[in-house]
Amino acid sequence: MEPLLEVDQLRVRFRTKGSVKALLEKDDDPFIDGVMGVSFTIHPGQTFGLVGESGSGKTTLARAVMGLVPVHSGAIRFNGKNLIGLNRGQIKPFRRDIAMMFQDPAGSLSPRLKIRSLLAEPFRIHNRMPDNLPDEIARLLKMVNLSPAMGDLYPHQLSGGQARRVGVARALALSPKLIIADEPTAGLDVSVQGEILNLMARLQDELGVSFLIITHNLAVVRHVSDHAAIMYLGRFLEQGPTQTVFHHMQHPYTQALLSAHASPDPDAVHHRIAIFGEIPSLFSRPRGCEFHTRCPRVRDVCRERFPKAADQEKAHQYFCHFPLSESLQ
Amino acid sequence: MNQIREIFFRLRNEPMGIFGLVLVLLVVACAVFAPFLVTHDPNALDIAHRLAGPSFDHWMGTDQLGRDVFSRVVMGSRIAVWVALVTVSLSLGIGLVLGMMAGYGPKWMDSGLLLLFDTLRSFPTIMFALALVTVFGPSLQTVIIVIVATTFPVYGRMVRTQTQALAGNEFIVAEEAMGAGMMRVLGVHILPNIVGPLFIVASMDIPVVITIEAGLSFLGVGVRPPTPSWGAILNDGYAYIRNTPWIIIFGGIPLIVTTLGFTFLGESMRDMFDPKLRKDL
Amino acid sequence: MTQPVLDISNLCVNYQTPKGTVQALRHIHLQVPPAKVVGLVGESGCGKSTLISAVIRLMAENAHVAAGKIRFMGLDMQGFSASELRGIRGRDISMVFQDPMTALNPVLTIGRQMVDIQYRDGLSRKKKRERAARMLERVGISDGLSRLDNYPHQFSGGMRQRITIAMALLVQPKLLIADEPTTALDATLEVQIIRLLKDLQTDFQCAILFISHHLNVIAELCDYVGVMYAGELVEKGTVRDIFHRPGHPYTRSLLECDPSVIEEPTRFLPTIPGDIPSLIDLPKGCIFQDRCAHVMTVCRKTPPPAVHLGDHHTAACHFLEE
Repeated sequence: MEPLLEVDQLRVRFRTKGSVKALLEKDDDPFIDGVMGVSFTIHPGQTFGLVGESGSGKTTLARAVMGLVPVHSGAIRFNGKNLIGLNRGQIKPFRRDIAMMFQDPAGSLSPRLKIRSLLAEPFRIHNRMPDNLPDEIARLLKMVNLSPAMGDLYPHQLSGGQARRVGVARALALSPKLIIADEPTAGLDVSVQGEILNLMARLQDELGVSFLIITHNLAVVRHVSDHAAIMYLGRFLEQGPTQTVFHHMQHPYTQALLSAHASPDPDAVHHRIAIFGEIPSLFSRPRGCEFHTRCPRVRDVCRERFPKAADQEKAHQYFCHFPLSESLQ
Repeated sequence: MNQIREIFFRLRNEPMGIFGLVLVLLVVACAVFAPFLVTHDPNALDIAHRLAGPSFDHWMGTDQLGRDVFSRVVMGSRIAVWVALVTVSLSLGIGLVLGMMAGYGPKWMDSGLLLLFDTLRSFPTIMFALALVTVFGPSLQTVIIVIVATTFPVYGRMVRTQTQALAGNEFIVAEEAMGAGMMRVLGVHILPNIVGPLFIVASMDIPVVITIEAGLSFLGVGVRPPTPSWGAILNDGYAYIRNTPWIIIFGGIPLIVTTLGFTFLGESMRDMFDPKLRKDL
Repeated sequence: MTQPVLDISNLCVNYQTPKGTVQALRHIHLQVPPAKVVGLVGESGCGKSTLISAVIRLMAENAHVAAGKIRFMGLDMQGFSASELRGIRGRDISMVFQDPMTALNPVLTIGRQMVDIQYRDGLSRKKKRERAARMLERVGISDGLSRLDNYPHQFSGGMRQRITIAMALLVQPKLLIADEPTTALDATLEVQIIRLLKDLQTDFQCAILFISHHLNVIAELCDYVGVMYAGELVEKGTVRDIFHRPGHPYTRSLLECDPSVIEEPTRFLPTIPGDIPSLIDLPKGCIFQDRCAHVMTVCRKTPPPAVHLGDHHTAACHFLEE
């Protein structure tokens, strides 16, 4: 099957100083890397789960795919067409096919507009007014289990779960092929989280839409995604089919992340993999493998160079000099 | 219009605001109905009765040319209100457009507009006015140009700051992600979120503008005589302040009333709508 | 049992709003025993924050205690004057918040803030600094003495939360109230902070009231647990009671909803359908009736009794037996 989205060696850099200042301070590299050569593919109707701690660059990656931040190098192919280098007019049709759900359920809705107008926004922007707009809006609201009367409310009058569902409805308006969901369950109560994820799963079954889910919640990824990637400081340290990544992980970071989750059993004995400290700042990217500052299996070579992918051809990829399947001497 | 009803509802708890509103309405009514309120032609000369004190015929006395001061003050309110409305809406409009462009547009546009704002703001109003008058001659238009040119940068800077704050919000990024253009983002999503506080600042600027107009007319660089501007009336009375103080007194009272009115109204509106000062929720 | 550090009995708190009286807390009974960790769990709108503000007597202007008593070390909190309360809040009760930046003053060095907080102790400045430095090292910040001269922004998020914990414990409180202290942190940091709190609690032997919406964190840290729903404490018990033998249908659903307990991957997760009821116009009978899977006629008519399921375990439901 042809992939829907193909991201190839994507690199996003941010300027840290103005060009004049950099010249004066003789800084010939006034950049930091937000995303550092990431490759992955999403097939139609599939869900790709992207896991990372805050500061891992996962939101930057999503925004780069959306064309909201400039890309330094690499390719983003959507249905085989490279989106990099297209101008505003050329990229606009693709914005109909790729929609985004934002992290803050209420904060991503323009506060002075009623829900009705917010749902009409995508049609207006793309000049695709349906014949009967009120009917279309009622249909969208119904699709996400909201009553049509909600159309008269303002965003601040909604609960977190309702605002999130409006976000889903808005993403669906133009029947996109891919929806990027940034922390779809963040800020929601446990009892409501399921509602949103179930809604997304149902829509995937009905409409065949693909999802790129960005989250720090491993449990969510384990249940809803077909493929998973673990991101750290702008790189995918491990990626592959969700089951493989969760049960046959090779990277110590994946293992540490999985073991870090508290369990609902007060008598559980935790075999926590101790990892130290916190994710380093992008401004002080460690040499070699970025994870070496926290890795329990660190060796000298890790501080020198970044490891090569274990096997480029395989679906399961990881970047580690000493993967978990090899015992340490 | 729910918002207007809400303003009046909240105003009930603000005695100073009501007082201000009454004063403002008084001045506006005076300006609107001026032709029906005057007792004499404001420009009719009556040399026989020059510099007369207040009497039944001339409620506020007459000036050095025998013109009725009351009629001149009433007609003067037209000029004051007219200048205030035109200049404040012009500077608000220009400030909004340029400020939003500076706040949302590319970096070079921001730097360019900031330079413009700061340059204009650094002109001393009086010197600027004198220079323009030398070129164009004294007139109401010159006054309006001077005031607009020196006040819109203030709005511009304010709008720029608020736009920048809003532009980082997720709902703006969400619009961009859907492919919304600059005009749509600014007009539909940023504008409604910044006009409210801006109108309050503008209402507090109205008395300032009226005072500048009066000041410029007083200095003779404003409206041309015999047009009855409040500043011109004060200028006329200034020469006779020792013997006939009523010209300057009656010419000054409306200025004070207008200033107080708009200031009280503006301050209580600010208190009502500043979320940090709001008690209820 | 020895005298509890905090004893809340029959607490009711109302808010006056333009739309009517919001009954935010209703008949709360809760004890925090000495040197134990009591967890309060509940979703948004359950009244956790109102409960904390009632305990430390820092309530919103439109809120008032309609009934009930809060006793701290056996003394009625209502009877304290404003200055006595300030004394208690600074010394006997301290707090850790969700966002460490709200608790730290950004323009002062953390050393200055940690010395200031000991103003009641008659020690020299040097001694106070040493104590502060030792406390920093105790919470896992190495080289404490030199780190005292840094400003809050020079620390990362996890470090800052460690500092607020150090500050809270510096006054050797009898009760530590932790309001969602790990919610803003990533999972790897969350477990670090829980570990730290657990260790410190054993060392300092202070009682902790730990508020979270995250069940797993509660399971790992707490001795006793209270489950709140829409202003009521629907179930309380030891941590094993709640997680191994949950009684109330709400507790059970809440535990089932957690995606991390479901072993087999599934695309459709369990949920609790419906919304919390309006606290202005309370339903007759059980507060959970509209969302309960086992609702019967009696639930809509009479409020459920508190059923004792064990020594410490009670739940308010019609369908439980002692």
